[in-house]
Amino acid sequence: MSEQIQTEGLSLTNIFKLFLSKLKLLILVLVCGAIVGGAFGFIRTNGVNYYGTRLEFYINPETSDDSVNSESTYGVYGAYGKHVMDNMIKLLSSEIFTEKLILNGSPLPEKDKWVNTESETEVALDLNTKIDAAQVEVDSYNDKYEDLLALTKEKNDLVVLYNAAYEELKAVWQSYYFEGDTISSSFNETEYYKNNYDEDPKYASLQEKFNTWSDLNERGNAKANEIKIMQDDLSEMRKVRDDKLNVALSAWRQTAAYKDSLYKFRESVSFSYLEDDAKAEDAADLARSFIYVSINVLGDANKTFAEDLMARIQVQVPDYVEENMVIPSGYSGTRCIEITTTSGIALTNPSYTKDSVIKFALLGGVAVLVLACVILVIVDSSDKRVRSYEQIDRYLKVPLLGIIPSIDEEKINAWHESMKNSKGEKN
Amino acid sequence: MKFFDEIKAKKREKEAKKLHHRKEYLINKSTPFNILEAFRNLKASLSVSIPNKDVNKGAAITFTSSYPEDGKTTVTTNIALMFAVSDTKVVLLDADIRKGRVAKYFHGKSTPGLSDYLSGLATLDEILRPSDINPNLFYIACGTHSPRPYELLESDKMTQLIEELKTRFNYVVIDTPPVLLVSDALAVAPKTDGTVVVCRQNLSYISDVQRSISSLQFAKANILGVVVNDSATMGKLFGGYQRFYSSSGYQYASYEYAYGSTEPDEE
Repeated sequence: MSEQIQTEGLSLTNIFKLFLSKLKLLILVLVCGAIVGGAFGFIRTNGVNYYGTRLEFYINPETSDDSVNSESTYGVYGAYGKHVMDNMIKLLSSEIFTEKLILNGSPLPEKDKWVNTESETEVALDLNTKIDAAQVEVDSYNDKYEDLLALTKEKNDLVVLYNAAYEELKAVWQSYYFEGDTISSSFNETEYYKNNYDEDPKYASLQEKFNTWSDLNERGNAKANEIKIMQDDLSEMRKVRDDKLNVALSAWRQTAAYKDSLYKFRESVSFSYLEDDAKAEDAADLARSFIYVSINVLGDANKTFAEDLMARIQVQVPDYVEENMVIPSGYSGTRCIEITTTSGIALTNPSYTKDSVIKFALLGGVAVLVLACVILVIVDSSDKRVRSYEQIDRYLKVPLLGIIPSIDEEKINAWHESMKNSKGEKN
Repeated sequence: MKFFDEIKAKKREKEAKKLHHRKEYLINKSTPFNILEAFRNLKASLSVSIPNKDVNKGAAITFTSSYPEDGKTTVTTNIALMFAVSDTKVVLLDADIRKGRVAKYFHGKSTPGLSDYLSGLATLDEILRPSDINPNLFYIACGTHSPRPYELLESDKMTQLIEELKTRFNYVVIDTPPVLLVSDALAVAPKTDGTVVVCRQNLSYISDVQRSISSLQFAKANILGVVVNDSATMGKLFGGYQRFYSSSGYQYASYEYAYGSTEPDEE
């Protein structure tokens, strides 16, 4: 029979009755748990203020011809599918773009800003040296590139003159009955020219125009060669520049200040895109894709970092999206425009503490209640005392002859008093 | 298992200590209706459960429990009183020679008593005393403390005493020591017509009651059943019935029935 007592399981009815009998205790436990949870939530989140804002960009593919309406007429994501938008968000959330934000458009970090302590002096010197070396290459490259641009402009100007000279030459040439429209560069060696040059003064004009055109042609070719040489040089310089840049940037990435900055920037910015259907009444929105940038900086009461971050994002995001967005077929590029109308940096979590208190109060209350219920069930199931007459029938299998209720202590004392008094009277 | 047994024993000891100083109690005019009804029901259950009742002879019932402080003596004494108020002659025999308390309920002395009779130091008439509470109720105290109570209770003289008392009385109600503490009850129970095990709600362990019943069955006692004492939950149930009875006039009848008085006390 003892095995019967030990192996009997708990039924839901018994558990429910048990909880009902201890309802006040459970309510008290729930309230206490909620209070403790709420207090924890308050302590954890009081004074935790985030400053920032939300920026919105819309992106759309565009053609090279501005006169053509480049508005796409695709569905919710514009011309870009969900997969493309996912990739763009991943790129924006990557370390590469975060580095761009930190550098704020510059190819190199600022000198003397990334290493502060004396123990890192050698590192600082080393980093600065590498930055200097890279800067030299960058400057050289940029200068050379400027020269290339100037040279290209000169060549383009020559091309314009060349084309004009060609048209003039062609006009004169066609006034003669030379065969074909193709101006022969060796026409002045033809017998007809030699035989007629002295007799027809128009040949002088033709010669002059031919010489001009020929000269321009030579000059243009020379410029083209110069440009080619310069491009080859630039290509070499670019390699050297990129090597130096990589060396400097690698050293920069080893500094603690860089890692802190990277962490801070990544923690403060998050990117997302439109995932829901646009409003039906605003059908124009259906043709565009939207990128949303949330800026949340902890404890930036003066808003200096947040504002600086916002300014960087406003510059870097459009450029980066336009450079890296997948271009749909039939289009030549991507246009990314900010459409935010907010007033700037503000407190982004005004109800953070209140929400946290409620959340932790609920969690705390429920957790403590569940724990209390489990403990109650364990304690109750381990209590093998006689607690109800049903147990007699269930476990002992003998008749229950009677149940005698509790007798109050007061009744017992009153009886004793009356017995004493009646004994006294008898005596 | 030993560890849990120790915890169980300590817990019981602690709870029992709280009850140790509780005094004796007999049902009286001031006893609440629910308690009176409970004893009445117990009496009725016992009356019908005793087998092969010889009309010319009374019935002997043993009351025992697992451990002390289960309320066995209080239940035994009051059930004897309940039998007495039904115009049946009852003798209450205190077989707890080691620590009998029945005499205290009637404000009498423990000696001379059962042990003196069994030792041959007193006669039956010397130890058989009427109670002052009811003319139908008599009692025999435990007597002088003896070093060999089990042997006295197991003797033929005890058997003869019980048979003699059955010829003189309708009911012989015997209070014995706790069966798991000492073996005295195992000597008395087989000599009687039935045995009742008393347990206390929220104090007695099911396993202990079970062991008591097993021990008594092994000693060839006839187990009539179990009484649950000091029940807080059942008190509330009977309280509801009290309101019903008092409004319909039955409560006056219960006082009269309990005490043989024809005049109800004014409340």
